[in-house]
Amino acid sequence: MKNIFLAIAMLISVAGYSQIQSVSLTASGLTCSMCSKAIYKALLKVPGIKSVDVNIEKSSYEITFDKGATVSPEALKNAVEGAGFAVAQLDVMATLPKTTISSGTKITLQGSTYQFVKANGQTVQGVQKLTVIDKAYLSSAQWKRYVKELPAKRENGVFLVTL
Amino acid sequence: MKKSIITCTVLAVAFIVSTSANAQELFVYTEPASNMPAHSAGLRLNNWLMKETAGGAINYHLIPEVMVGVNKNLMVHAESFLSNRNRGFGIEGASVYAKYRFFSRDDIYRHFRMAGFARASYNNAPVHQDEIETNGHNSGFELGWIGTQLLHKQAISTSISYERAFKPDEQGTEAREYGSQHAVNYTASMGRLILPKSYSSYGQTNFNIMVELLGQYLPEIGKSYLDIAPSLQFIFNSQTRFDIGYRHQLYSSMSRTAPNGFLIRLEHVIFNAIN
Repeated sequence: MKNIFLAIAMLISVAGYSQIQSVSLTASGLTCSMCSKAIYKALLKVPGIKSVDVNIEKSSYEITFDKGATVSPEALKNAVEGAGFAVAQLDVMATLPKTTISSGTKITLQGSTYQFVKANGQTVQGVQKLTVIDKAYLSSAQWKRYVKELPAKRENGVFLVTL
Repeated sequence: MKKSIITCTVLAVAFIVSTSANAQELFVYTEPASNMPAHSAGLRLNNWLMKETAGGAINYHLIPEVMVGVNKNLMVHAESFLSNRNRGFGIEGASVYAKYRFFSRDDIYRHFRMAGFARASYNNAPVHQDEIETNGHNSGFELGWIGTQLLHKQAISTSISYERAFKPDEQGTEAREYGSQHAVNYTASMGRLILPKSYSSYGQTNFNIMVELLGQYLPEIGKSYLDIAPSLQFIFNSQTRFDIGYRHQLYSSMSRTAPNGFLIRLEHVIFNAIN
Protein backbone atom coordinates (compact mmCIF):
# COMPACT_ATOMS: atom_id res chain seq x y z
CA MET A 1 0.00 0.00 0.00
CA LYS A 2 2.78 2.35 1.09
CA ASN A 3 4.60 1.51 -2.16
CA ILE A 4 1.60 2.47 -4.26
CA PHE A 5 1.37 5.84 -2.49
CA LEU A 6 5.11 6.38 -3.01
CA ALA A 7 4.81 5.49 -6.69
CA ILE A 8 1.88 7.85 -7.20
CA ALA A 9 3.68 10.58 -5.27
CA MET A 10 6.76 10.12 -7.46
CA LEU A 11 4.69 10.22 -10.62
CA ILE A 12 2.87 13.39 -9.58
CA SER A 13 5.95 15.13 -8.23
CA VAL A 14 7.95 14.35 -11.36
CA ALA A 15 5.10 15.57 -13.57
CA GLY A 16 4.83 18.76 -11.56
CA TYR A 17 8.49 19.75 -11.79
CA SER A 18 9.69 18.31 -15.13
CA GLN A 19 9.98 20.22 -18.28
CA ILE A 20 11.04 19.31 -21.79
CA GLN A 21 13.87 21.60 -22.92
CA SER A 22 13.96 20.34 -26.51
CA VAL A 23 13.73 17.28 -28.72
CA SER A 24 16.61 16.32 -30.96
CA LEU A 25 15.45 14.32 -33.96
CA THR A 26 17.65 12.68 -36.63
CA ALA A 27 15.96 11.64 -39.86
CA SER A 28 17.03 8.84 -42.18
CA GLY A 29 16.65 8.10 -45.90
CA LEU A 30 17.80 11.44 -47.26
CA THR A 31 20.82 13.45 -48.32
CA CYS A 32 19.41 16.37 -50.32
CA SER A 33 18.38 19.77 -48.96
CA MET A 34 14.98 19.67 -50.70
CA CYS A 35 14.18 16.49 -48.73
CA SER A 36 15.48 18.12 -45.55
CA LYS A 37 13.26 21.16 -46.17
CA ALA A 38 10.22 18.90 -46.64
CA ILE A 39 10.80 17.45 -43.16
CA TYR A 40 11.46 20.92 -41.72
CA LYS A 41 8.18 22.27 -43.13
CA ALA A 42 6.25 19.22 -41.88
CA LEU A 43 7.68 19.59 -38.35
CA LEU A 44 6.70 23.28 -38.23
CA LYS A 45 3.09 22.19 -38.71
CA VAL A 46 3.03 20.05 -35.54
CA PRO A 47 1.01 21.89 -32.85
CA GLY A 48 2.98 23.32 -29.93
CA ILE A 49 6.31 23.68 -31.74
CA LYS A 50 8.12 26.96 -31.07
CA SER A 51 11.17 26.55 -33.32
CA VAL A 52 13.10 24.03 -35.43
CA ASP A 53 16.85 24.40 -35.89
CA VAL A 54 18.19 22.28 -38.77
CA ASN A 55 21.58 20.75 -39.45
CA ILE A 56 21.13 19.75 -43.09
CA GLU A 57 24.41 17.82 -43.30
CA LYS A 58 23.49 15.63 -40.33
CA SER A 59 19.74 15.41 -41.13
CA SER A 60 19.13 16.53 -37.54
CA TYR A 61 16.45 18.83 -36.16
CA GLU A 62 16.58 20.60 -32.79
CA ILE A 63 12.98 21.28 -31.78
CA THR A 64 11.75 23.58 -28.98
CA PHE A 65 8.18 23.84 -27.76
CA ASP A 66 5.77 26.46 -26.48
CA LYS A 67 5.63 26.57 -22.68
CA GLY A 68 3.33 23.87 -21.35
CA ALA A 69 2.55 22.49 -24.83
CA THR A 70 1.82 18.78 -25.26
CA VAL A 71 4.91 17.07 -26.62
CA SER A 72 4.34 13.84 -28.48
CA PRO A 73 7.21 11.91 -30.08
CA GLU A 74 4.57 10.17 -32.18
CA ALA A 75 3.38 13.47 -33.70
CA LEU A 76 6.98 14.31 -34.62
CA LYS A 77 7.58 10.86 -36.11
CA ASN A 78 4.35 11.13 -38.16
CA ALA A 79 5.52 14.49 -39.54
CA VAL A 80 8.83 12.96 -40.69
CA GLU A 81 7.09 9.93 -42.20
CA GLY A 82 4.49 12.13 -43.90
CA ALA A 83 7.34 13.98 -45.59
CA GLY A 84 8.50 10.60 -46.96
CA PHE A 85 11.30 9.65 -44.55
CA ALA A 86 11.93 7.90 -41.25
CA VAL A 87 13.26 8.69 -37.76
CA ALA A 88 16.76 7.40 -36.98
CA GLN A 89 16.90 8.78 -33.45
CA LEU A 90 14.66 10.87 -31.19
CA ASP A 91 16.06 12.27 -27.94
CA VAL A 92 13.88 14.13 -25.43
CA MET A 93 15.96 16.59 -23.38
CA ALA A 94 14.06 16.80 -20.09
CA THR A 95 14.73 18.54 -16.78
CA LEU A 96 14.00 16.07 -13.99
CA PRO A 97 13.94 16.60 -10.22
CA LYS A 98 16.04 14.14 -8.18
CA THR A 99 14.67 10.77 -9.41
CA THR A 100 15.78 7.15 -9.09
CA ILE A 101 15.53 5.44 -12.44
CA SER A 102 15.17 1.66 -12.67
CA SER A 103 13.99 -0.50 -15.55
CA GLY A 104 10.21 -0.07 -15.60
CA THR A 105 10.16 3.41 -13.98
CA LYS A 106 7.54 5.59 -15.63
CA ILE A 107 7.38 9.36 -15.87
CA THR A 108 4.94 11.67 -17.59
CA LEU A 109 6.29 14.75 -19.33
CA GLN A 110 4.06 17.32 -21.02
CA GLY A 111 1.33 14.92 -22.08
CA SER A 112 3.33 11.76 -22.90
CA THR A 113 4.35 8.84 -20.70
CA TYR A 114 7.84 7.40 -20.84
CA GLN A 115 9.00 4.06 -19.41
CA PHE A 116 12.69 3.37 -18.84
CA VAL A 117 14.50 0.29 -20.13
CA LYS A 118 18.10 -0.76 -19.46
CA ALA A 119 18.24 1.43 -16.30
CA ASN A 120 20.08 0.20 -13.20
CA GLY A 121 18.63 2.21 -10.35
CA GLN A 122 20.79 5.31 -10.81
CA THR A 123 19.66 8.60 -9.28
CA VAL A 124 19.52 11.51 -11.69
CA GLN A 125 18.71 15.20 -11.47
CA GLY A 126 18.65 18.07 -13.95
CA VAL A 127 18.71 17.88 -17.74
CA GLN A 128 18.63 14.26 -18.97
CA LYS A 129 18.61 12.83 -22.47
CA LEU A 130 15.85 10.27 -22.99
CA THR A 131 16.31 8.28 -26.22
CA VAL A 132 13.13 6.65 -27.55
CA ILE A 133 13.57 2.91 -28.05
CA ASP A 134 11.24 1.67 -30.77
CA LYS A 135 11.68 0.22 -34.24
CA ALA A 136 10.11 3.29 -35.80
CA TYR A 137 12.42 5.68 -33.90
CA LEU A 138 15.78 4.00 -34.51
CA SER A 139 18.03 3.11 -37.43
CA SER A 140 18.00 -0.62 -38.16
CA ALA A 141 21.52 -1.04 -36.74
CA GLN A 142 20.56 0.68 -33.48
CA TRP A 143 17.29 -1.22 -33.19
CA LYS A 144 19.14 -4.56 -33.32
CA ARG A 145 21.06 -3.52 -30.18
CA TYR A 146 17.92 -2.92 -28.14
CA VAL A 147 15.33 -5.37 -29.45
CA LYS A 148 16.34 -8.11 -27.00
CA GLU A 149 16.22 -5.78 -23.96
CA LEU A 150 12.58 -4.81 -24.29
CA PRO A 151 9.96 -5.78 -21.69
CA ALA A 152 7.68 -8.66 -22.66
CA LYS A 153 4.52 -6.60 -22.14
CA ARG A 154 4.23 -3.18 -23.74
CA GLU A 155 1.52 -0.67 -22.94
CA ASN A 156 -0.14 1.26 -25.70
CA GLY A 157 0.80 4.91 -25.89
CA VAL A 158 3.84 4.58 -23.59
CA PHE A 159 7.23 5.43 -25.06
CA LEU A 160 10.11 3.19 -24.04
CA VAL A 161 13.24 5.26 -23.37
CA THR A 162 16.78 4.84 -22.19
CA LEU A 163 19.12 7.37 -20.56
CA MET B 1 30.76 2.90 -84.79
CA LYS B 2 27.65 1.89 -82.83
CA LYS B 3 29.68 -0.42 -80.59
CA SER B 4 32.20 2.32 -79.73
CA ILE B 5 29.43 4.80 -78.83
CA ILE B 6 27.87 2.27 -76.49
CA THR B 7 31.26 1.45 -74.95
CA CYS B 8 32.01 5.13 -74.37
CA THR B 9 28.60 5.66 -72.83
CA VAL B 10 28.95 2.72 -70.45
CA LEU B 11 32.42 3.92 -69.41
CA ALA B 12 31.15 7.48 -68.84
CA VAL B 13 28.28 6.23 -66.75
CA ALA B 14 30.60 3.95 -64.75
CA PHE B 15 32.90 6.92 -64.14
CA ILE B 16 30.07 9.08 -62.85
CA VAL B 17 28.79 6.31 -60.59
CA SER B 18 32.23 5.49 -59.19
CA THR B 19 33.21 9.07 -58.41
CA SER B 20 29.76 10.08 -57.34
CA ALA B 21 29.27 11.81 -54.02
CA ASN B 22 26.09 13.29 -52.58
CA ALA B 23 24.20 12.23 -55.67
CA GLN B 24 20.61 13.24 -56.11
CA GLU B 25 17.65 11.13 -57.13
CA LEU B 26 15.49 13.92 -58.56
CA PHE B 27 15.95 12.61 -62.08
CA VAL B 28 14.88 14.57 -65.13
CA TYR B 29 13.65 11.97 -67.62
CA THR B 30 12.34 9.43 -65.12
CA GLU B 31 10.60 9.47 -61.74
CA PRO B 32 12.40 7.96 -58.72
CA ALA B 33 10.60 5.53 -56.43
CA SER B 34 10.47 8.25 -53.76
CA ASN B 35 7.39 10.34 -53.35
CA MET B 36 6.44 13.96 -52.85
CA PRO B 37 5.82 14.96 -49.24
CA ALA B 38 2.24 14.35 -48.13
CA HIS B 39 -0.03 17.35 -48.72
CA SER B 40 2.45 19.12 -50.95
CA ALA B 41 1.65 20.37 -54.44
CA GLY B 42 3.88 21.10 -57.39
CA LEU B 43 3.75 22.70 -60.78
CA ARG B 44 5.97 21.72 -63.70
CA LEU B 45 6.41 23.33 -67.10
CA ASN B 46 8.00 20.84 -69.46
CA ASN B 47 9.33 22.25 -72.74
CA TRP B 48 10.48 19.69 -75.27
CA LEU B 49 12.38 20.93 -78.33
CA MET B 50 12.94 17.93 -80.58
CA LYS B 51 14.58 18.02 -83.99
CA GLU B 52 12.90 16.08 -86.79
CA THR B 53 15.30 13.64 -88.45
CA ALA B 54 13.68 14.30 -91.81
CA GLY B 55 13.90 17.97 -92.65
CA GLY B 56 15.30 19.29 -89.37
CA ALA B 57 12.18 21.19 -88.20
CA ILE B 58 11.92 21.71 -84.45
CA ASN B 59 8.91 20.14 -82.78
CA TYR B 60 7.97 22.10 -79.68
CA HIS B 61 5.91 20.33 -76.99
CA LEU B 62 4.67 22.25 -73.98
CA ILE B 63 3.48 19.92 -71.23
CA PRO B 64 2.27 21.74 -68.10
CA GLU B 65 1.93 19.37 -65.16
CA VAL B 66 0.23 19.66 -61.76
CA MET B 67 1.42 17.29 -59.02
CA VAL B 68 -0.16 16.48 -55.67
CA GLY B 69 1.24 14.45 -52.76
CA VAL B 70 -1.90 12.71 -51.48
CA ASN B 71 -0.18 10.90 -48.63
CA LYS B 72 3.35 9.69 -47.95
CA ASN B 73 2.96 6.81 -50.43
CA LEU B 74 0.73 8.17 -53.19
CA MET B 75 1.13 11.05 -55.61
CA VAL B 76 -0.92 11.99 -58.64
CA HIS B 77 -0.15 14.20 -61.64
CA ALA B 78 -2.27 15.70 -64.38
CA GLU B 79 -0.78 16.99 -67.61
CA SER B 80 -1.95 18.56 -70.82
CA PHE B 81 -0.19 18.19 -74.14
CA LEU B 82 0.36 21.12 -76.48
CA SER B 83 2.58 21.10 -79.54
CA ASN B 84 3.29 22.73 -82.87
CA ARG B 85 3.52 19.49 -84.83
CA ASN B 86 0.18 19.83 -86.57
CA ARG B 87 -1.84 22.86 -87.69
CA GLY B 88 0.01 25.56 -85.75
CA PHE B 89 0.33 25.41 -81.95
CA GLY B 90 -2.53 23.71 -80.17
CA ILE B 91 -3.72 21.38 -77.48
CA GLU B 92 -3.57 17.71 -78.41
CA GLY B 93 -4.52 15.86 -75.29
CA ALA B 94 -4.07 15.22 -71.60
CA SER B 95 -2.88 12.59 -69.19
CA VAL B 96 -3.15 11.47 -65.57
CA TYR B 97 -0.32 9.76 -63.74
CA ALA B 98 -0.12 8.11 -60.33
CA LYS B 99 2.83 6.71 -58.40
CA TYR B 100 2.48 4.50 -55.34
CA ARG B 101 5.49 3.79 -53.14
CA PHE B 102 4.94 0.32 -51.73
CA PHE B 103 8.30 -0.37 -50.15
CA SER B 104 10.71 1.87 -48.27
CA ARG B 105 13.68 0.98 -46.14
CA ASP B 106 15.44 4.02 -44.71
CA ASP B 107 18.74 4.34 -42.91
CA ILE B 108 21.21 7.17 -42.27
CA TYR B 109 22.05 8.67 -45.69
CA ARG B 110 20.59 5.65 -47.48
CA HIS B 111 17.36 4.12 -48.63
CA PHE B 112 15.93 1.56 -50.95
CA ARG B 113 12.47 2.23 -52.31
CA MET B 114 10.14 0.64 -54.77
CA ALA B 115 7.07 2.11 -56.40
CA GLY B 116 4.49 1.23 -59.01
CA PHE B 117 3.21 3.77 -61.47
CA ALA B 118 0.42 4.13 -63.98
CA ARG B 119 -0.36 6.64 -66.69
CA ALA B 120 -3.44 7.05 -68.87
CA SER B 121 -3.30 9.43 -71.83
CA TYR B 122 -5.42 10.81 -74.60
CA ASN B 123 -3.80 12.35 -77.66
CA ASN B 124 -5.55 13.35 -80.91
CA ALA B 125 -2.40 13.88 -82.97
CA PRO B 126 -1.73 11.52 -85.90
CA VAL B 127 0.92 8.84 -85.46
CA HIS B 128 3.90 8.97 -87.81
CA GLN B 129 6.37 6.66 -86.12
CA ASP B 130 6.93 3.21 -84.60
CA GLU B 131 7.99 4.65 -81.23
CA ILE B 132 5.28 4.61 -78.55
CA GLU B 133 5.15 7.48 -76.08
CA THR B 134 2.02 8.03 -74.02
CA ASN B 135 3.70 11.07 -72.47
CA GLY B 136 2.97 13.41 -75.35
CA HIS B 137 2.43 11.37 -78.51
CA ASN B 138 0.03 8.44 -78.19
CA SER B 139 -3.27 7.70 -76.55
CA GLY B 140 -2.87 4.73 -74.28
CA PHE B 141 -1.63 3.70 -70.90
CA GLU B 142 1.56 2.66 -69.14
CA LEU B 143 2.12 0.47 -66.07
CA GLY B 144 5.50 0.18 -64.43
CA TRP B 145 7.81 -0.52 -61.53
CA ILE B 146 10.60 1.70 -60.18
CA GLY B 147 13.44 0.77 -57.84
CA THR B 148 15.69 3.48 -56.39
CA GLN B 149 18.73 3.02 -54.20
CA LEU B 150 20.40 5.84 -52.29
CA LEU B 151 23.63 4.38 -50.92
CA HIS B 152 26.30 6.43 -49.14
CA LYS B 153 25.25 9.54 -51.06
CA GLN B 154 25.02 7.86 -54.44
CA ALA B 155 21.65 7.39 -56.12
CA ILE B 156 20.74 4.96 -58.87
CA SER B 157 17.30 4.19 -60.17
CA THR B 158 15.86 1.72 -62.61
CA SER B 159 12.41 1.21 -64.04
CA ILE B 160 10.63 -1.23 -66.26
CA SER B 161 7.19 -0.74 -67.75
CA TYR B 162 4.62 -1.97 -70.20
CA GLU B 163 3.14 0.65 -72.51
CA ARG B 164 0.03 0.22 -74.62
CA ALA B 165 -0.87 2.54 -77.48
CA PHE B 166 -4.41 2.82 -78.72
CA LYS B 167 -4.60 3.37 -82.46
CA PRO B 168 -6.06 6.74 -83.29
CA ASP B 169 -8.88 6.61 -85.81
CA GLU B 170 -7.89 5.54 -89.28
CA GLN B 171 -7.93 9.14 -90.54
CA GLY B 172 -5.13 10.05 -88.18
CA THR B 173 -2.91 7.00 -88.51
CA GLU B 174 -0.66 5.76 -91.18
CA ALA B 175 -1.90 2.49 -89.76
CA ARG B 176 -0.52 0.25 -92.44
CA GLU B 177 2.98 1.36 -91.49
CA TYR B 178 2.93 2.37 -87.83
CA GLY B 179 0.62 0.06 -85.97
CA SER B 180 2.55 -1.16 -82.93
CA GLN B 181 0.38 -1.24 -79.85
CA HIS B 182 2.65 -2.80 -77.22
CA ALA B 183 5.99 -1.66 -75.86
CA VAL B 184 8.36 -2.58 -73.05
CA ASN B 185 10.38 0.32 -71.62
CA TYR B 186 13.49 0.11 -69.44
CA THR B 187 15.53 2.88 -67.86
CA ALA B 188 18.65 3.35 -65.72
CA SER B 189 19.43 6.67 -64.05
CA MET B 190 22.36 8.04 -62.07
CA GLY B 191 22.97 11.45 -60.52
CA ARG B 192 25.75 13.44 -58.87
CA LEU B 193 25.65 16.56 -56.68
CA ILE B 194 28.32 19.04 -57.76
CA LEU B 195 27.41 21.99 -55.49
CA PRO B 196 27.29 22.84 -52.64
CA LYS B 197 30.30 21.01 -51.20
CA SER B 198 28.58 21.04 -47.82
CA TYR B 199 25.13 22.15 -46.76
CA SER B 200 24.76 25.15 -44.49
CA SER B 201 21.39 26.59 -45.49
CA TYR B 202 18.29 25.92 -47.57
CA GLY B 203 19.10 29.04 -49.55
CA GLN B 204 22.13 27.49 -51.21
CA THR B 205 21.75 26.66 -54.90
CA ASN B 206 22.15 22.94 -55.62
CA PHE B 207 23.75 21.94 -58.90
CA ASN B 208 23.38 18.33 -60.03
CA ILE B 209 24.43 16.37 -63.11
CA MET B 210 22.39 13.36 -64.18
CA VAL B 211 22.83 10.70 -66.83
CA GLU B 212 19.96 8.46 -67.85
CA LEU B 213 19.60 5.56 -70.28
CA LEU B 214 16.15 5.17 -71.81
CA GLY B 215 15.16 2.20 -73.94
CA GLN B 216 12.12 0.72 -75.60
CA TYR B 217 11.40 -2.61 -77.26
CA LEU B 218 8.44 -3.24 -79.55
CA PRO B 219 7.73 -6.98 -79.43
CA GLU B 220 5.26 -7.00 -82.37
CA ILE B 221 7.93 -5.92 -84.84
CA GLY B 222 11.03 -6.91 -82.85
CA LYS B 223 12.52 -3.40 -82.91
CA SER B 224 14.12 -1.28 -80.21
CA TYR B 225 15.98 1.92 -79.39
CA LEU B 226 18.35 3.10 -76.69
CA ASP B 227 18.83 6.79 -75.83
CA ILE B 228 21.21 8.56 -73.50
CA ALA B 229 19.97 11.67 -71.71
CA PRO B 230 22.45 13.74 -69.73
CA SER B 231 21.08 16.72 -67.83
CA LEU B 232 21.99 19.64 -65.61
CA GLN B 233 19.82 20.54 -62.66
CA PHE B 234 19.65 23.64 -60.47
CA ILE B 235 17.64 23.72 -57.28
CA PHE B 236 16.94 27.15 -55.78
CA ASN B 237 15.91 27.70 -52.17
CA SER B 238 15.40 23.90 -51.88
CA GLN B 239 12.00 24.33 -53.57
CA THR B 240 12.38 25.48 -57.16
CA ARG B 241 13.99 23.31 -59.78
CA PHE B 242 15.37 24.11 -63.23
CA ASP B 243 16.43 21.22 -65.47
CA ILE B 244 18.10 21.22 -68.89
CA GLY B 245 18.41 17.84 -70.52
CA TYR B 246 19.52 16.62 -73.90
CA ARG B 247 18.23 13.33 -75.21
CA HIS B 248 20.31 11.58 -77.83
CA GLN B 249 19.60 8.36 -79.68
CA LEU B 250 22.44 5.84 -79.30
CA TYR B 251 20.86 3.35 -81.65
CA SER B 252 17.47 2.54 -83.09
CA SER B 253 16.02 -0.05 -85.44
CA MET B 254 12.54 1.53 -85.37
CA SER B 255 11.26 4.66 -87.04
CA ARG B 256 11.19 7.74 -84.84
CA THR B 257 10.19 11.21 -86.02
CA ALA B 258 12.28 13.38 -83.70
CA PRO B 259 14.31 11.36 -81.17
CA ASN B 260 16.94 13.98 -80.37
CA GLY B 261 16.45 17.28 -78.61
CA PHE B 262 16.29 19.34 -75.45
CA LEU B 263 14.04 19.26 -72.43
CA ILE B 264 13.84 22.49 -70.45
CA ARG B 265 11.82 22.21 -67.29
CA LEU B 266 10.83 24.54 -64.50
CA GLU B 267 9.31 23.08 -61.33
CA HIS B 268 8.13 24.54 -58.03
CA VAL B 269 7.00 22.64 -54.92
CA ILE B 270 4.69 24.09 -52.28
CA PHE B 271 4.95 22.28 -48.95
CA ASN B 272 1.79 21.86 -46.83
CA ALA B 273 -0.33 23.10 -49.73
CA ILE B 274 -3.27 20.82 -49.00
CA ASN B 275 -4.86 20.06 -45.63
